[in-house]
Amino acid sequence: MELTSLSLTNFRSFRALELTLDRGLTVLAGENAQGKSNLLEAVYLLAIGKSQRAAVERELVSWEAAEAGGYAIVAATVRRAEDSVEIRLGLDCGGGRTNTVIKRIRVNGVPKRASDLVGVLSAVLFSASDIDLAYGAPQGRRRYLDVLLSQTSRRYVHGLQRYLRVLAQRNAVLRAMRDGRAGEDELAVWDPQLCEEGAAVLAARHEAFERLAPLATEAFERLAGTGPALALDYVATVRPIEPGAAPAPEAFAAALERSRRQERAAGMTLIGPHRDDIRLALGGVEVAKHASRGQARLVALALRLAEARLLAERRGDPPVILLDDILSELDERRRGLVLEEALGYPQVLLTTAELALVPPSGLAAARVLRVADAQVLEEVTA
Amino acid sequence: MTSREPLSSEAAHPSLAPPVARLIEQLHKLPGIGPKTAQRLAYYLIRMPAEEAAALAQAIGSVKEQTTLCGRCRNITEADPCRICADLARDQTVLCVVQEPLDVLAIERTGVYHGLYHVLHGVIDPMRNVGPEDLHIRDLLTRLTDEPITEVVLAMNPTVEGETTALYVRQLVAPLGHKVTRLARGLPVGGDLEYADDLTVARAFEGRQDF
Ligand SMILES: Nc1ncnc2c1ncn2[C@@H]1O[C@H](COP(=O)(O)OP(=O)(O)O)[C@@H](O)[C@H]1O
Ligand SMILES: [Mg+2]
Ligand SMILES: [Zn+2]
Repeated sequence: MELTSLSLTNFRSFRALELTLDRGLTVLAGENAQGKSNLLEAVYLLAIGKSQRAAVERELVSWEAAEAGGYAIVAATVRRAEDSVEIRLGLDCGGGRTNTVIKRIRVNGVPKRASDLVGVLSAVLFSASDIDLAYGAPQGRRRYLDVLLSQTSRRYVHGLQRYLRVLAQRNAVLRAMRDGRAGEDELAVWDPQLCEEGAAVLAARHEAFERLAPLATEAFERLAGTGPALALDYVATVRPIEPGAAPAPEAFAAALERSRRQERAAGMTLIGPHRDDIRLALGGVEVAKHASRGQARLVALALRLAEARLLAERRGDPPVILLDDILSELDERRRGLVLEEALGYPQVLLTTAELALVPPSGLAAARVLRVADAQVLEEVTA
Repeated sequence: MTSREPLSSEAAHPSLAPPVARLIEQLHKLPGIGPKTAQRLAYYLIRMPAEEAAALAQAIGSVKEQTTLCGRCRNITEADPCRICADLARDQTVLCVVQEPLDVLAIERTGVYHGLYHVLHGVIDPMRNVGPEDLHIRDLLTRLTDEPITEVVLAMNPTVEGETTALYVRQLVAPLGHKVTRLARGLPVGGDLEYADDLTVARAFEGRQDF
């Protein structure tokens, strides 16, 4: 799929921007702090319904508008395999000085919940902070899987939301029990739903992982060339009864039973998809602990390339590829490889501070836009 | 229910006459009313003819004074027992357990149900410190032993909290030997009975399942 237009109002540093977008490669070039990442963030916001980097949504509204109780709007037209859709996401700071931001979403003019927006536009964002996928805490890798799965299945989004809700309620009961404010019977009533929703989340992750792991291994091989292979393992805190299968609700319930004592002491639920991880290893050596920065960067890239491929397969409509300032950290050969893979998708938006980093083969056919001080201008190439 | 942000300085600006500011503040406390809407409503009320405004004020004033909870079903009522509980033509053997008084209205509108009700006034919600003892569950158990009820229909919303409350009630009811059914999942997932259309509620009733 591809964006044919993008419009920003009071979004971060952009006061007003109207942009038509083409298929193929669009290069957004500009000095630092000019708004390049903000622009890709806006696109990705439409894809997953939330910002990948803002801690609070108010950050997304231009400071001026937020201060005045105004609003931000991100809108786009997306041409998909079967149809064309208009997406509009508004962030309203109408609460004045209070920090609440009201998010309003419309798809083709029809109001939607954020959870129903996910995947209407599918996109994969590559950024420099992806290195955290390799080096950082398990949370980032779980999020990687959840965002990927959410873009392939609305049922997953809703199932995950229900799971997290049950989990939060159950943890509240565990805390209350620790303080002597709740009894055993109040805990047990949450378990059937925890096990049922949790098993569904695990089943979906398991199924996707079966395909994702080899895709990531292959992508890494293409990037790294010779050398140790990348292996991925889903590390589950709930073991399946049958090896190779996803745990059923019964297995979940049995595991919960076994962790009873510890979770009572901890005051929180210690097993389930919210505690799982993806273990990444190169030739048997754990990436998180022992890989070089260079290797870790390639592992992260491989995960993103696998994500894009899986999304394309599952959706039957390839995602928009967003490459945020990733070229500067790669050598020339890798820059060429990554861009070549990206250009296998219908639309690529790439940001860079230096045009010289864009491989000439790609640049030749690219549209180059100059981003300066939250303005976007067409570059007239000689 | 939802924790409320304090009113913004703009909404309660010193340039506002204190009575207007007070009205805005009171309106802002209502569910679903943000500061902007509270302001708009306040100015609408100010422009209202005096007798209409008085009628509204009186309706608000008397609603607390003139209503009570029905001693049997715990629905909000003017007379105790309420009209439904007092209606002997209704099926005295089926009892439908709902979260909120408005759910009774939603089910009554469909006209497919002719039994009795029991209103819990909420669902189990540990994050908001609502436990089973904060709901009208004990009254329910008393009714089940005192009244000739044979079937209990659990009509809580299909939210995570509604399901858990249904489960909790079922566990307490099961030893008493009543048939327990749950409204079918015809309702929009995570949706409220209150917002479902009549047909959806009617279908859910007809398709209620053993639970
Ligand atoms: N809510 C906001 N309102 C106004 N400006 C913002 C807001 N959030 C970020 N900015 C500005 O955006 C700029 C960063 O833009 P960014 O897209 O990250 O730059 P780059 O071009 O280097 O990718 C900074 O100058 C920052 O001050
Ligand atoms: Mg940037
Ligand atoms: Zn009554």
